[in-house]
Amino acid sequence: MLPDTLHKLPQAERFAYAKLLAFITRIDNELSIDEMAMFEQRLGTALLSPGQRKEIRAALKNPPSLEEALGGLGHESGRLALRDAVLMSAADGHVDEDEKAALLKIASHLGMDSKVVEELLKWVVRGYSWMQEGYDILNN
Amino acid sequence: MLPDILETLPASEKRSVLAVLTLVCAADGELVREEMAALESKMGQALLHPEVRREVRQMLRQPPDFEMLILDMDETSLRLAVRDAILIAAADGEYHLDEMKMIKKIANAAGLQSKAIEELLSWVEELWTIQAKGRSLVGLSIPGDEKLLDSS
Repeated sequence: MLPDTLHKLPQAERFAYAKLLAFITRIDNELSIDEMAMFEQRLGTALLSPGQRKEIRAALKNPPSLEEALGGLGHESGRLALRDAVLMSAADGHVDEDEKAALLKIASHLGMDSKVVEELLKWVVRGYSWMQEGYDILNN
Repeated sequence: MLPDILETLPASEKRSVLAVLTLVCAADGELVREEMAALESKMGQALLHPEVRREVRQMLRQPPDFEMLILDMDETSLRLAVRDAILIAAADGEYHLDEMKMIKKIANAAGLQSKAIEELLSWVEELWTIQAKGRSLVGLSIPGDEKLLDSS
């Protein structure tokens, strides 16, 4: 994904964004390489300081509660976090019930309709096919 | 964006891909925040060791020699480097002439024809549209998104 607006947010909000992704990453108590790569990719885009990255990686071992993770999010960072939480949830190829329930809670906390989560999941599928098109170009 | 072959490459190949990307970042003599975010994103996606990330950041100031760098790279890594070079070059919204020259050099080394570069440029255009859609779904459209979505 290309940088959009995340890197322009105040540092505290980028940190809160990353904390929410840490919560989502550990929701199923598993951490696959794909999820880790996706998580690190988003941390990179957020341009967090090395100290903050260290702290966020520690949050992967001791994930915050959802309420705690939602705490520091503002309007924009919260919505970007929801979008990227959907990306993260789909990183291992499927979204389980606990992940889906958490995504719906995040949407509700942000005052958004639950159908946004469904639409974002369809959007992720489009992202997968876009990535495959990239491989196809390189393989031709 | 989503899980990628990049993360499965051997550590030395990942380092080389990222080193090639620093040459694209440095090609136009400017390093904007968007390019830095894109480079950091790629380093994260590649799961580079923090020490290697420091080394890669250093290359932005002291660029490696391209010919030496590609000597030991395999074709898969070089092709991924072409793809990601185009993504990084697009990060600030425009392709600089010097960035395109560097991309063509990498593509030559990877055995890719100019048609593939054209296709990759269109592929990146599609990503802009996909991202605009993602922003619009969460109510965070930015100027230009509407036009992108209308034309898709």
